[in-house]
Amino acid sequence: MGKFKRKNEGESPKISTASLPDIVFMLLFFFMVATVLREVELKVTNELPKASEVSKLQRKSLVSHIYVGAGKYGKWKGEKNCLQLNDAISEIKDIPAFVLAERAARHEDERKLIWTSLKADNETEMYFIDQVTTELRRVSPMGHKISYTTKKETKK
Amino acid sequence: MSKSRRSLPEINAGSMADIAFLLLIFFLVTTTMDVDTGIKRKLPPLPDEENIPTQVDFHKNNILIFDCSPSSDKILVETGADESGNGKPFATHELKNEIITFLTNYGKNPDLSESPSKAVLSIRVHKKTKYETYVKIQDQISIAYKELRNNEALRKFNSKFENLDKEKQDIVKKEYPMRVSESIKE
Repeated sequence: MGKFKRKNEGESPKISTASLPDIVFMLLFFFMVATVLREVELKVTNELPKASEVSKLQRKSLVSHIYVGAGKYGKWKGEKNCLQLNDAISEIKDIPAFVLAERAARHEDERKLIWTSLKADNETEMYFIDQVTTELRRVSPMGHKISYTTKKETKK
Repeated sequence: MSKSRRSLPEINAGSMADIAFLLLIFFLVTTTMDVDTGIKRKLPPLPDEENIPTQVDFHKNNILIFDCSPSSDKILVETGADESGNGKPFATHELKNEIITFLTNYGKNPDLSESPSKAVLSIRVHKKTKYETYVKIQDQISIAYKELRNNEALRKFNSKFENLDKEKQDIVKKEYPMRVSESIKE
């Protein structure tokens, strides 16, 4: 038996942890770069519809979001068609000002490249969507670029 | 000189990992990595007094109408040629084939379109129609056009539509322009 006894009995060799900070930093940088901080709190339900033929909205800084859905809190709770701009429930008539503010916040050269991402809940009724898009059309004499934001449907 | 250098205390890097872990966990928790995907469309400007759209003399057979009532899952499809108000019902996923046969008719069937460049798709929604239904129709239209444009790109340039440069894409798009009209009724 003694034959097989190791010299440093019971002691496993120490693993060097010197490179641990490097590994952790690497992960850290990855997540820092990939992170997008969620900038708004959703005040409406937002179960997006599914679609299969979709395209990505490339530059996040040039996308402005409009949320539509049923209200979740306060006096809007249960209200079927609500509109959220930035952080607050808004009315249809606020849309032009919102779009103009979004435009003003971007550099002049980039204003043409702004996409509006319409994040509307499955259950929203079309008359409401129509009111939203009509306002968007009103403020864009050259046509308005819109993306009906969807979840990607996984093909079966 | 050498004395003072020697006396510089070594900074203990042992806690570096802890600090990094702390930051890492923060970013892990706050990260959302979803990229927005969606169906892209360009909304036309509202017509105003100076810019009243001229009434184009469409042949009615160049219009394909999707009528989606809020009460049923099926979409009623009819061409402008027989606008009787009761088209054939289709499930949303079947629309793609209908659109393709309609667009690629080239005058063979007098009830369908003369050519893809003259065809117009018209979505008629009701006030209470669900947004979901509308998106599904838009999706089917996208799928149909993608397929047609891809075929055309393969035939003309022997390459997929998405791999063509902008000029060639425009040639193909001109052949298959996506023209969708929308209307809403009570």
